[in-house]
Amino acid sequence: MNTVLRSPFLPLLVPIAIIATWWFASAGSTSVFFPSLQDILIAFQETWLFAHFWSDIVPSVVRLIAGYIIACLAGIAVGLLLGRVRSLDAAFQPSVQFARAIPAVALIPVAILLFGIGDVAKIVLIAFCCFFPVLLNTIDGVRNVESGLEDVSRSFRLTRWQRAVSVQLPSAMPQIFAGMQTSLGFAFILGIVTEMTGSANGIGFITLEAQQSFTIDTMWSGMLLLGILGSLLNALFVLIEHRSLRWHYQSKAGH
Amino acid sequence: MTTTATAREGGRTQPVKSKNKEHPGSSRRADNRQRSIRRVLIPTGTTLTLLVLWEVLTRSGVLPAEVSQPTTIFAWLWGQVGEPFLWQSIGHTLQHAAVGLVIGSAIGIVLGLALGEILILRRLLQGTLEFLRPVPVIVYLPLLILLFGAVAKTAITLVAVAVVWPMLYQTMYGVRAVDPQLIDASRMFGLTARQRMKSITLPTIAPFLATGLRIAMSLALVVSVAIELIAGVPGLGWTLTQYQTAGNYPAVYGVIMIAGALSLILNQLLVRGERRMLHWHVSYRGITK
Repeated sequence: MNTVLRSPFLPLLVPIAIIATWWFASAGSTSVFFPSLQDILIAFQETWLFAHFWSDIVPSVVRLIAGYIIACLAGIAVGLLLGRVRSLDAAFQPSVQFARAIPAVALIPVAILLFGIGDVAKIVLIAFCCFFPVLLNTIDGVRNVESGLEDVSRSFRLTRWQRAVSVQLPSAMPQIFAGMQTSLGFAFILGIVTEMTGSANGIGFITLEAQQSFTIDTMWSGMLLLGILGSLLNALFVLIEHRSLRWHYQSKAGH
Repeated sequence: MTTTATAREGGRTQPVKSKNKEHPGSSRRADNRQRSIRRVLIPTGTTLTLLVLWEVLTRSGVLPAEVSQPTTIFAWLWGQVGEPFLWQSIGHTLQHAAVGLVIGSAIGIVLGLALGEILILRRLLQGTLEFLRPVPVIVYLPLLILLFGAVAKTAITLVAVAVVWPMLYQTMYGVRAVDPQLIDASRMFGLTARQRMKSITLPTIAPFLATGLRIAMSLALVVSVAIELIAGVPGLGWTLTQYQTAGNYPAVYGVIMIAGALSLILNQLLVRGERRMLHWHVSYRGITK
């Protein structure tokens, strides 16, 4: 029983079963809404490999990453500032809380008004909504540095800047990464939604357009691609996190 | 904006006050004055300054004409108080979010309990769940529009799907945080599975559920606004696009403000409810730690 439980193949069982069921149950399907998996995969190959690769997949990913990186950098910088300067934090608390509470998708009309339907509006929106999780986690993280560490860095007469960069930021890193992971999810959602609401290209655009023009195979292939992309991005993030926080996990394991 | 801010701060001052009792009178008063400056004056002052700055920048034409002045926005909002249309939009959005939240939470909690308690189920499904979790619900939208059309059912279904995830994972973490010694003890005392669920598992997972619910609530609101916006389902999101196409800019900003205020108010309600229902839990932890 135990060897069965520990077997590394056990988690693979269900996905294989699902795909197999999907394949056989949908084979020869005549339903308009649920084409066979084979047709979906053919549409996938025709649409994304590589007809729309440069024209749609690459712009989607580039916008997402650009907005995300801007948000992470700004979130960490502002978070460090607000986290260490209490009166500043108090001053901007209401504005930050309110801005964070706005459902980011509601800002799409404003972004289109101000920046048009090009890349800028999308990148700004992605950056805006990804900013807050990173900001709040950074504020929390740099504020709750272990008091022993603070004392040591003070007795070594590190300057404010040195303390911020070499003590507070690194010790807040696990928490900042948690915020960045939330943000990555936001970035992905906002990326798709902005493409579905006002766009000329992108994976979300192609997928919704396929639905509206009743090319259902392509719609399914777009959904499949978005699902895979979302999971891949998340997996990539976890990988990077584990590498950069190795010291943290090791010290936790040591205790 | 300011009322919610003070409400937030109001909650926080409680424990500080009791600590202050140890101080002699005069320094307490000075402390209190300094605290009230930091807690009330600085935030309110800054917020007002930002609003004035916004007003001045738009009036003087530094910001483009598409940015409305705060006074115009508030005037528009004030004018809508007696109009039913906006209230109906708010009602639709709240309905999508609430119904989806209830359905999604129920499914998430049941799945989370099952996965937390039954090891083989967890091993079987974990990989699949980890794959599906980062897939945003927006991905399923085209299919649902196709199946149901631009109706409330589409929004509610997608809210429910989105809500399942945080509830499922929070429940599962909660179940796995149950102290195994408590389980052993309950076995020794001959508690039935149902008794064990009621007096050990549920109290342990309650705070996890509360956190999950807060995440789920803001998610529910975002998803319903997004679906209304993209698919044209009646609600705040759809209202927003209508005002946008009509070129009614103050209304666009007004609706955004409403959406933000709604999210703040709901969050505040949940935080209060959580504090009221789980006060025993926090005090319990206060003694043992």
